[in-house]
Amino acid sequence: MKRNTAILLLLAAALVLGLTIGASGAYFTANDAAKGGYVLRIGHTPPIGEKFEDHKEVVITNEPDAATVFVRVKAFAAAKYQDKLGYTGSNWKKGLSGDFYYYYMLPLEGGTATDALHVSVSEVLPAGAEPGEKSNVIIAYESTPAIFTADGKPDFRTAWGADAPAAE
Amino acid sequence: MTNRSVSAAARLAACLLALVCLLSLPALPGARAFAESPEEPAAPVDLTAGGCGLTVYPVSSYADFAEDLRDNAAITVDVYKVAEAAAIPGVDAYGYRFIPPFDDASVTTAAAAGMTLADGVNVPNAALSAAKWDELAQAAAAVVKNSTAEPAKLSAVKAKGAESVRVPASGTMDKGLYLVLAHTEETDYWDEEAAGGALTTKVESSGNKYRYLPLLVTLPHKSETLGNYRYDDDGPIVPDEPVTSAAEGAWIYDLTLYLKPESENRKADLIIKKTLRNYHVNSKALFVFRVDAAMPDAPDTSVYSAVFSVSLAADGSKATIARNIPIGAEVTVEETYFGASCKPSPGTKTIYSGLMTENGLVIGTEPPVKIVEFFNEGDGTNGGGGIENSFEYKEGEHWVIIAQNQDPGVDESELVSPGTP
Repeated sequence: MKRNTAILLLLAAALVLGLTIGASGAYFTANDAAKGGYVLRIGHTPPIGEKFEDHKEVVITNEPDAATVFVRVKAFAAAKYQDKLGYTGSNWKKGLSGDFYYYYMLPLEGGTATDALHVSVSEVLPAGAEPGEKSNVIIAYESTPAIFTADGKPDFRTAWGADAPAAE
Repeated sequence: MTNRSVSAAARLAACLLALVCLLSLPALPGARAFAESPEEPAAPVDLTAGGCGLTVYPVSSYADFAEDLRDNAAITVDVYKVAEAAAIPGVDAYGYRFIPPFDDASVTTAAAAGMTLADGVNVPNAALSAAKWDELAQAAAAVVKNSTAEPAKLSAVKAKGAESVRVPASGTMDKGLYLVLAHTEETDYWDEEAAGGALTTKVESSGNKYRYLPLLVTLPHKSETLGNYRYDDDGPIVPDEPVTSAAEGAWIYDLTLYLKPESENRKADLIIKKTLRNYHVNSKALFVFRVDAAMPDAPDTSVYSAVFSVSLAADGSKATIARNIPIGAEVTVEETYFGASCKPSPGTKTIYSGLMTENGLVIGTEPPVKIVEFFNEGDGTNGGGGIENSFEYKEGEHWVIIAQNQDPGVDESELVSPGTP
């Protein structure tokens, strides 16, 4: 029987339309997770939210009463800019393989949300571009059922594989 | 008054006109071309047959794209005699008598806007501007374009790798007014898409498209001194002041012309299609594609780098489009991410590399394709999804979010035009 581990995530990308990114120090910014009608319901999964202001703020929210999950996020820019994406956020850690995954280092229980992961694109959207030039930044997220060790610690490496940092 | 006295009066008028109205030389309309030649001893203009020649550079070596035109384009230079040089008695200057088929009313009317007809000779007015010469060149080019029988011409081909071409290939040409048109044999002669409706000729190299405005050049030419030419980042440019027959210096019978084409990079689109099979996860699958391109002669210099995505929640197909990929570039399209619970279908490609052409991507020896396809199938039970944020750089130096799409990709039919291979 197939495990129903498509754990029910909801992406609430509260994105500020028409946001102006400055010529320098450009960041995405977020409002709140449920604002703006970007809620994406996937089955009966909990929500995931993204916000923008002057930096991109990725917040993943698990729906109430859903099972506890682990989550990870990966951002994509054009190849020549991929290494220039910047990430900061409490309880987020970079994967070990250099594959650009960022792992949320706490189990995400139903009805709770991650701390924000700030994704800087200041060098992905460079100043001095040609008017009309376009660029995409893509955020992918994944969730998997939470697994715990015998002593009750989250076992990220068993759940995700060797790229995941070990729990502290 | 007798006919003789009328003719004499006309000649006198022409002389006075030429003295008062300095003869502007038509080889210098704006900054599109300039002429240079060794200075010769000052002598009255010699309008006897023959004795003239042109060395034509299709582009100045200072232009950004000079190397491309030199190495990748065999350019034919067609030179049509529009008018013969006609002496103006008593004056070291000359005018023009248009010859068939350029004696058409469209040409003589354009000439009349900047020349005075005296005793059958069209004498350029002092105030004859570069714009008027352009209009005359357009009229003459239209005669060439519309003639059922092509007018007589001198032609020479600048070979690939060569910088210039000699016209005529051997011997000399007569004094007079000539129309210079540059084009390539492999493409249409005229560029029907030229902005502003002006007639232009077309040259295409492996990666670029160029337009040439028709150019009129008069032989012989008169320059003040070569030192008058100024240089800037784009190379030599013409003097601000028009060169006139009243200027000091010698008549020059053998000219060097530097044409100044406009460059227009040619671009094409490529559709990326995703097909998902055997997907049973109750969650979206996001697929990310990178498109990168570089010109073959500069493989380490990116000319295109972009990322696109498509999401699917069930078996089926969707597509996205990579727009404005430079033609002539080596292009790689790679599926760099295929969801939380998918894998590439066995035996299918996750990367395509080929040469971008106006007909599509040429991969190896296969016919060009306008769609590259990727196939995946379900593999796992993790949940996932994502969002594609699209930005555009606006006037005023800032980036603006123009789209945020949690369901990127559309049905292929929304991207494919009829007849797409």
